[in-house]
Amino acid sequence: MKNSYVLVVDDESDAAQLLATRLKKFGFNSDAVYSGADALEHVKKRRPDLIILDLIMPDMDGYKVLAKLNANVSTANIPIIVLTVDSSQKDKIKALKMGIDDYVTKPYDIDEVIARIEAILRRSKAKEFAPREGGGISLKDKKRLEFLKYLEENKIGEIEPEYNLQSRNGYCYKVAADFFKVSDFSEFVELKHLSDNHVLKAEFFDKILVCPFCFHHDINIRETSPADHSADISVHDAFHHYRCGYVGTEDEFLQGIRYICPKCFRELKHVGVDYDRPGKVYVSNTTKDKFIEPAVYCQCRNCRKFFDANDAVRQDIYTYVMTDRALEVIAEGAFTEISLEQELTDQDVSVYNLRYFRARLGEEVSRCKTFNRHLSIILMSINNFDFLITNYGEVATKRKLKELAMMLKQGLWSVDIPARYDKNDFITLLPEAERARAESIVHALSGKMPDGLEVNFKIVSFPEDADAEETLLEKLIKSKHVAL
Amino acid sequence: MKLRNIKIVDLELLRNFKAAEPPKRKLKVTSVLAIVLLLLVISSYIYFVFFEGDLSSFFISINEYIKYCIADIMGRSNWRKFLLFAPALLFDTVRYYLSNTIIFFIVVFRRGASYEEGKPDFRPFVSVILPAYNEGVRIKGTIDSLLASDYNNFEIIIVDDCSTDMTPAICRDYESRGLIKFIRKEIRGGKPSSLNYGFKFAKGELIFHFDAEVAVPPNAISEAVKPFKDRRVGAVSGSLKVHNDRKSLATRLQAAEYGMVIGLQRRWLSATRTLQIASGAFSVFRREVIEMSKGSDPEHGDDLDITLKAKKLGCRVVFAPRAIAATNVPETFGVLFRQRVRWDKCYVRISLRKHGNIADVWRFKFADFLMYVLDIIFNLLLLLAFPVYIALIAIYVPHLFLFIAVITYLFYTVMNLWQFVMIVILSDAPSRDWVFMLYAPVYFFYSLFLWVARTLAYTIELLRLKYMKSGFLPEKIWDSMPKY
Repeated sequence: MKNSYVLVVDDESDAAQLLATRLKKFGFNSDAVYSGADALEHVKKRRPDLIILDLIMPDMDGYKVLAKLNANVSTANIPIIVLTVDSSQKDKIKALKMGIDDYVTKPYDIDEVIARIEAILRRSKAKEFAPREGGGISLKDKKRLEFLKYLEENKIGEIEPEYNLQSRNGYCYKVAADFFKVSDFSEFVELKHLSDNHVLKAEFFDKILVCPFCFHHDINIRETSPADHSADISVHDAFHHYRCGYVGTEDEFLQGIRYICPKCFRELKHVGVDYDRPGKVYVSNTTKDKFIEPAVYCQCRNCRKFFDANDAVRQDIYTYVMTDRALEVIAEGAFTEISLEQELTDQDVSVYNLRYFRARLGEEVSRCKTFNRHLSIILMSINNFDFLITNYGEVATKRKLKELAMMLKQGLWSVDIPARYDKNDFITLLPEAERARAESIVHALSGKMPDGLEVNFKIVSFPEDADAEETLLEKLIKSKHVAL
Repeated sequence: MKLRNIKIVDLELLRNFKAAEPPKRKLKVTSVLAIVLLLLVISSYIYFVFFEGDLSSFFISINEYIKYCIADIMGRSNWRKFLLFAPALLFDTVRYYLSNTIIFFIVVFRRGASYEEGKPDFRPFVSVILPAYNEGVRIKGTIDSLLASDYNNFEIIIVDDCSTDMTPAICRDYESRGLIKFIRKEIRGGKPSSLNYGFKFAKGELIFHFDAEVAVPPNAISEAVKPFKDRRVGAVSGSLKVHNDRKSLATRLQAAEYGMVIGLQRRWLSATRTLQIASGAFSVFRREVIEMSKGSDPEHGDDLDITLKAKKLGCRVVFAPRAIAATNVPETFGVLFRQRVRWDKCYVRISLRKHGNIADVWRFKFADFLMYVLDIIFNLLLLLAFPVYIALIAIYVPHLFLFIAVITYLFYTVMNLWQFVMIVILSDAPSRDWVFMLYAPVYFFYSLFLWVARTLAYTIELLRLKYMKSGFLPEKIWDSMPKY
């Protein structure tokens, strides 16, 4: 990333020169040219990795330069940062439409410019390494398949993240890291790719905050004064004296070992009787400034930069679990296209997922409205789900759920849509069915329940109970259990 | 990422929220018809039974009565003639009508030439403190009207006094958008303690006190800041208008009264530097005044108390006629009566007893002493002497009682009409205020009603019959505060 060649194009020669020298200080190779025509010539001689371009120049403005660069195939994919005094939305959008990568508004902060350059270079490098599309199985996919085979041979069902302070975000996946050792983050990228392909299932493990500049996990979060970001603050109780109504901090009242009111000079004796503490007051020890809430401010221990806690980047760390599709992929020896059915099915219990159910419900309701037909919905919920999890464990419970789902499916017609509503709820859409059919299904199901499951049912039907999609679901949740 | 614990507010819910209001009582057609019928019956009964179908005798008898009364009065000495009409001539003519007429002509002829010109760049940082206790959705309107202000150099501090309704949820929503500062007290301490608590965090040179239910026009803050160009001014009383003036007869009459007392009387008091009160609904204080008086005292009339403290510190209290805030007033006469009794008690307790030493000419200003004495004469003694006057008339000249009452009524009505004409001429919204003139015939009875409340309040407070507690402060504070 360092040693990249950056070209600065700006008609103000001083400013361009200054930026170029500053970039050199940060370890980039850089040159400055002072007009659009010069820039185009320079690009022909030596191809830069990135161009910083001023939009407003006398003879040939930035848009024209952009158009010329885009016209040539060899220069079209050079990343470009536009530098402009003009911060109007219209110009930015126009420039962005012409294919620039980023913009910086003058007056700029050099750190910000560097961060943006690094981010763009990182992205463009990643693009170069990306596998070419088409033409059989790529090298990367081969590696991934090997990885999956390795997992299957060693019976590693779950890939758990481990603490590793050496790595950038404090975690690593040891198994995957051995396979995909290209750079620091490559194992995360690969596992993410596999989970996007539904080969692995991502389960939430932890969330971390990382520095927005260097993406390092080691940041120091502290409460500071909002005015000057000094960390030297203290908290006092606010005291309210009933007799004279004076409100002040604890140290105003404290004299020796007694509390004396600074307004009426009486001693405060009992909290709740002659005074109380209605809240807290933060005081900056340096400026004696009083404030209601401290600002949360961070410092990265890696790059030593300060930033607001709201700007810290949140990263989720997942545990990756093998799915059924992984076995298919291994058997097939290639990454097959994911089928629509797989996309719409809940991975655990092989009924439809809620997304599909919602989509179909909307369709069915509107169809029923136009043709005056009937529709029923059954909600089946397991009461003792938490009890099952604690007593039998997750695997056994999952098996039980699968069993239940199978039973549910057996009693239904092929047009009915069983789906998973929540972790312990199943919902079933019965098109063309009146309430009587729904009740008969419920009674049949309740007769052959597996042991240890406490299940109850709720039924709602269209158009008797409600006549819109949302009200139908609301009614369903509010309605009473079906008596069995 | 937010580390602060901000409650998520369901805005849709807030918008749809309406406090349960009792259905409006309306004068029904049937009841109007019944009243008209009753009046017809009574008048026809009088017409046929008393005058035997001949109305001319009625007018003749009235004519003779008037002639008799005039002859009786003209036969008396000048001193006795004066005594018969003493209260109307002595009591209100000097105190209100004369002073109001003088200030009216001063304002009309000096319009434009006042302190408001020059130094337009006087825009100090100001803090608006808004104590709120169970304000519900009303506080939303107040915050919105303040945020729409044309003054841009200010902060809004809302002190929630341990509300049990949705006030904190609404305020947190504004706070999360960075528009206001919000303080939540954990223990209820009443409005004065909220003001004191908010002042701890206020950074402004001027401190604005608003009620949480007022509606503020955009220019209110900048108009209220103007008088502070003069270093001698320590407090400014804003002008109050009645927001719900179309609700009932009580609010209409109060609107007229506010116009008279606040629009004219306060201008006069401000011009003669004898203004004693800056109303708590809209008042502004210099930071030093609150710092030196160490905040508000917990009692009814805390606004009167802190204004008198400002006067004792040697500051001027000024009325800003163009800084207007609209406030809600009681809608029924019962609530209004209780409110007035509470207010009038404050005068005796705070102005006469607690700050009685303001009459010390050697320590404080001569104008204050003069005002104190005049207040006692006109406000207290003449008021209490009024029942004696009625009794004397009724005992010694019972035959003249009706005549004097009618003459007094006509005199008051004409004078009130003149007052309202002045108000409308001075008003910033004449199209809205001209209605006051229609209330002139009824206003006499309204002032009698106020007189009853005032006499009752003064009697109770002078004899120390009962110390009235209310929901204004929590019980424990009533118990522990000093009783003047």
